[in-house]
Formats: sequence, structure tokens, C-alpha cells
Amino acid sequence: MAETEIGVPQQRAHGSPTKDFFVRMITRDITLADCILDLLDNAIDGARRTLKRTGGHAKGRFLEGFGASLNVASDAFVVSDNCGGISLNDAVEYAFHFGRRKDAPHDVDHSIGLYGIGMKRAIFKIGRKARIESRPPAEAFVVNVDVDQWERNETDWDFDLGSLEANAEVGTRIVIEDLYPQIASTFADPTFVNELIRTIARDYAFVIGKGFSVSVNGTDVPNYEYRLKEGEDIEPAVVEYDDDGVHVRIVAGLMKELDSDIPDELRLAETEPYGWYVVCNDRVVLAGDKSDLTVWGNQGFRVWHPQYNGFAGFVFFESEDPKKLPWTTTKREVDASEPLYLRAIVKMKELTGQFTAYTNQRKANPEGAKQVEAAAASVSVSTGLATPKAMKLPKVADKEAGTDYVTVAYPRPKQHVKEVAEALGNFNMSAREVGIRTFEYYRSMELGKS
Amino acid sequence: MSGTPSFHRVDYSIRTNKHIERRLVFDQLKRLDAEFSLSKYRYLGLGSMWFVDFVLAHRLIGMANMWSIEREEEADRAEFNKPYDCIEIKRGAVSSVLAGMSKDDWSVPSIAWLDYDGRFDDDVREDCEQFLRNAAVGSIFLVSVNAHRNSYRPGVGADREPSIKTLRSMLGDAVHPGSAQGKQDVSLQEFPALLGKSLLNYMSGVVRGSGRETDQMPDRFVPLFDLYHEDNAPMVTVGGIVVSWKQLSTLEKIFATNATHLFSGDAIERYVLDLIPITMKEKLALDRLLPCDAAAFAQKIASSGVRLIEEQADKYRRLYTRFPVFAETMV
Repeated sequence: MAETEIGVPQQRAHGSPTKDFFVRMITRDITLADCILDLLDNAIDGARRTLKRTGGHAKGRFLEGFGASLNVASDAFVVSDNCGGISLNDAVEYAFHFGRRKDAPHDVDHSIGLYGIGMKRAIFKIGRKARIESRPPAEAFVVNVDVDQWERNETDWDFDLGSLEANAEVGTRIVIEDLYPQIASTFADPTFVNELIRTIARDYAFVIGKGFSVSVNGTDVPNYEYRLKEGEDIEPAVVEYDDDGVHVRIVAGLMKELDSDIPDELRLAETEPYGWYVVCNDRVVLAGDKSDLTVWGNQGFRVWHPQYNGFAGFVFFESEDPKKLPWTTTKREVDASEPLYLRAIVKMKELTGQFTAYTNQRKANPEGAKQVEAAAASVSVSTGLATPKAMKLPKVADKEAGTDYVTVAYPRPKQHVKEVAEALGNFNMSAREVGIRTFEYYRSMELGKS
Repeated sequence: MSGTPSFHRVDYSIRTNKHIERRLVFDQLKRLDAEFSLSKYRYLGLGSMWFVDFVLAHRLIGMANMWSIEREEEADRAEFNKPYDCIEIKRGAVSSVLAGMSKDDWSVPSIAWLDYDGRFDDDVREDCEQFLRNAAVGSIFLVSVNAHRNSYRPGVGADREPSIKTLRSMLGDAVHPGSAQGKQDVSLQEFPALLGKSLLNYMSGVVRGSGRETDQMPDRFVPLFDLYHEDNAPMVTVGGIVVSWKQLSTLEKIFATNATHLFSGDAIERYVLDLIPITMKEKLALDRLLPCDAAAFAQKIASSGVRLIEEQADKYRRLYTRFPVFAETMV
């Protein structure tokens, strides 16, 4: 086929975006909870911006005094903070722009808002009307967003700013109304609200630990302080290095003593804390991960097994430039193709391998190992593990070396096993444990042996 | 539930607080009946050998499509004891009866009252989920379970686990994160309220989480009952109604309130029923003082000769129209 020479184009293919894409498409790629967290990220960045502007330090509980409150109801969603507000200039030039402008000022270090989409996406996801009130120092203005009206004009992308009387408050308040029916139904469900509190506690643990406060429907989000076991025979591993403008710290060890009796039915609440955590600029992106997004089943590495319940690893990526961090726009996933992240995974696998080897060794004397594990004290992941060190795990002595074992397995009606478990004093006892106890009982009563 | 059936130990028809609870439930059902035509519904319950709730459903609401679930070994006796021909004894465990229901069966709106005498456990939870996911819109669901904190603390002696851990493990985020207020567990007194509230939250979550819709709008769960009663064992009865978007306005009308209040998380009917038994002579004396408000009642009672503590007397004042009178008769 003869090549066509490209000359001066006669026509051009249209490449401009549609508003529908922003209102209905990008909102599909993020969960409702993560949209809400985007708004919290803006508040936290506001606090850091205020501190930078006023020359405040960034050590210890430096976010003390800053906070955000969320109110989630079936008729409206409200988030308000005292974190400095959006300045009028930022609002006019940057804050309502779709996507972060290249000339946007670098006015906050270790930012967690980076794509310039969070607030708009949250509004579009939740409802059809919004009111953004901003009270930076000595200024005040309001932006009213009527999504239906804004959508009608495909060429005008701007939002009108109105004046607001300034008062002593300094911060931002966003009210979203005219909620979509599914959203209203979700907000009316107390389990969603409770889950949101738990998610915020989990994902902002390292921000709340620095003094930032968050409340949801009047309930203060608790300060989850992640801790790992540290004692004479147990120590978490700490690895630190700098990589392409990003400071990486990896901490891994035992969060809780391992189970010697893995329950028949594992429940999420019991296993959720274990696994790997990926943390970017103090924001937890992956929590308790047990998938190949971190190490498990990743390129031939062993998959997660309940035998590892009790293990936790944390990889912290910190950078003044958030674009260098391996996260996606939803801040709920890592960009697993990032070389920086791949290099971290190699080190995470090394530490995980040491731990999984230990879980195999401890099978020789699980009760003895559990005693040592349970006796160890614990240390804070965020404040107590600054110096690099190797992982230390208990030496397991084989209690009955030379003893041959066989496994006894037989089915029995579930109800019967429940009845026996209850009679043994623990209705939550696993079927395995019921089998062991009844076997030992027979051996003791009929054979007189212990 | 394990062990001896509770009807071997308890005659369900003569428990004062349980009786009041039933009357409160059926009073609300009568209010709903005006708009929801409950007589066309199916009543689904655990009639045991006494069928007390079935009798109320038939006599007060006119329900004539009734299923009582009874385990196989007791089903023949239940068949003999059923008070009306319109009651059908469904043999087996609740889970298997619900699992065996056809699409047509589910299409009939129901009032289901799963009145267990044991604790809430995984099996009961699965029964609740099964019903709430499948029941036709307009269906009403209640569950009664034991609410003694120790029933939710597995283990022995000092090693017993906290009750809140058992609840979290079964109900997840339905249990409010601040429930224990920083303590290791809730108190014996706090537990029933936490259990009731968590169960209602759970039911809301199941309905929303099932993705069920009517006319492409999400169905909702509205909590109606959060009742605690204590005759011998402490029990909670909680439940609500699964409604379509359109039916919400009907509920607003019936309960003279708005949707925001209906979804506030609190049930319409909330009561702690722990009335002590009173003698016939005391009852008649108190009745002669009623109706009146709390302040007037407190004044009148002082000169009536009745010696009940004020709190108990006031509970009687609020519930006297539902207070039962039991008498022995020769048959």
C-alpha cells in the first residue's frame, strides 16, 4: 500500500472532553467511601499548607488543633474543617480546575491531594447540588454548584463565586444535597457510617496519630495505633533507604500472637488487620493486603495462608512531591508497574519469607511458641521503630522430637459439634479443637493417660 | 438451638412481659394494616405448641395464610396443637424451610417473627439474611433472641472472651465502633441495648447490601421494633419493614413523621419491658387511678395504699392497657 504523504491537515479530529465524562464516568472508578476520603485529604493538605505558611514545624503531633467533621445523612452530606480554607486566588485559578494545572503553586510539602479532581469527583458522585463555603484568613466566598444546570452548557466549564461575610472561622465547609437515591440509601444505613469510621481510623491512623482529629456524625474517629511485638526473643525488622526522591521505610513483624488453632470459619474482622500496608505520605493506600498487589502470590511468591494471621508489614513511601509516590488517583491502589514500588516489593518479600519460614518451624511446638509470642510487649509502628534492624523471631524447640503423628479426620453433623463445643465451654470452638479435646478426654477417661 | 425445647420448660402464654411485647408489636401491625392490607400477607413464625402469636395475627389482623416452622421431631405434636386449619406446619429447620421457598412463595409479602429462645448466632443471622434478601417489599421481619451478655462470651472462667468481640465477629460494622467506650467490653446492663441496635443496623445493611430494587430505586429497611423484655431470661425483639421507595411516603403518613426520622437509626417502637408481677388486688387498685399523667399518678398512688416503687408503678401506668391477667380455670 502506498504511503500517503501527510501535509497540512484539512480537518481535525475533535478531542475536547464532555461534561458527562466527568459527571458519570470518572465517578464510576472510585467507591463512595474513597470519594469522601478525597475530601478529607484536602482538609489535611489545608492543615499542612497553613503550617507551612505560618512557619510551623512538622514533628510529633504537629497537626494538633486541626480537624474535620463529617455529617452523613439520607438528605445531605456535609464536611467541614478548620484547616485554613481555599484562598480566593486558588479558587479562581486552581481549585475548580479539572486536573491539576502545571503552574499550580507547590505550597504544601508531603501533600496527599495531587490530581486536582477529588472535590469535583466527590460532588458528582454524591449529589446534584453543592455549596462550597471557604473562609481563608480575612476572606470568605461561596461557590454554588448546580450539576444539572452546569451540564447544560458544554462550553462553559466555570463555576460562579459569590461573596460571603467573613467571620472568625477559618476553614472550608462543603454541603452536598439532592443526593442520588442509591447514595441516600447508603447514607441512611448505619453499617455504612460505622464502616466509614473504621476505614478512616485505619487509613488515617498515621495522620490522626499526629494530632489531626476527625469526627463522623458526632463520633470521634479513634486513634488506631499500629503496634508490633517487640521483646527479648521477638523484634520487627526495620529497613530504610532513599530511592529516586522518595524515602522508603519498611517495618514488618508480629502484630499478634499466631493462632495454634485456626478457626473453621475465618471472619473478616478477625483477619483484616494482618498482611501488608502500603502508606504514601501518611495515607494508607492498601491495608492488610493479602494479594499479589503486595507480595502474596506475586511472581511465584507464596500466597497468603491463615497460618500467617498475626503478621503485619508496613511500607512507607514519603516524598515532598506526591507525583513520585506509587499510588493511583483513587489512592486505593498502588501502581504495581512503578519501578520504585517493584524495588520495595523485593525487600518486602525478603522480610515476609523470614516470617513464613518461622510459621512452619513453630508447628513443632505451637503452644510453646504462642507463649513466647504472647509474652512480648509491643512497640508503635509510627513512633517506636526508627533504627534499621533485622527481624528476630523465637527459636522453637521441638517438644516431642521423634514422635510420629497421624491426622484424625471425620465428618459429624454441624449441630452435634456445636453442642459438644458448648458443653466444653466455648461455643466458638473450632471443630478441630472439639476433635482434639474429645480425643484427649477419651484417652484420659478410658485409658487413664494424659 | 440445642438442648431441651423451651416449650418443655415454659408456657409461652403466661409470661407477663412477653405478653406485653406481643401486644405492642400487634398494636403497631394494626396501624400498618390500614395501609398495607396485612390480612393478605403470610404469617411466618415458630408457633411451637402454643401458637400465641398466630392466634393474635388471626384474630387481630385476620391473617389466614400462616406457616409455622417446627423441627421434624416435634412437628406431629405441633400439627395436633395448631389452633386453626389455616396454619400449615412446615417441617425442618428455619434455614431449610426458607431455602425451599419458591419464587411464588417469596412473592407473597410476609410478616415473619422468628421468635428464638437462644442467642443470636451464625445460623440465626443466616435466617435473617435469607428473609431480608428475598421477602417481597412491604414484608415485616422480627427476630427475638436471648440478650444475656454471658451467652455471648465464649470460653471458661477468666479466659472468657468479651461479648463485644462475639458481636463484632458476627455483625461486623453493624456494631458501632465506639460501643465499648474504650473499655474491654460493655456491661451486663448495656449489652441488650447494644445487641438490639446492632441487629437493627445489620438488617439495614443486609437490605441495602443485597442491591434489591423496585422500579430501579433501592428498597429500604425501616426499623420498627426495638424491644427488651425480661421474664426469666433477658430477651430482645427487633425488626422492621422492607419498603420500596414509593411505600416510604405511606410509612411517613402512618407514623406521622418524615423519612429523615424513619432513617435516624432508632426504631419507631422502643420499650424496656421488665415489669414485676403484681397482684390482682394491686392491679385493680392501680386501674382505678388511670388514665392520668405521670405526675398525677405519682400523687394518687401515694394515697392509694399500693406499695410499689415509683419506677415500676409508672411502667405499669404506661402499659396498663396491655397488661395481662392470668387466671386458673377448671377445664
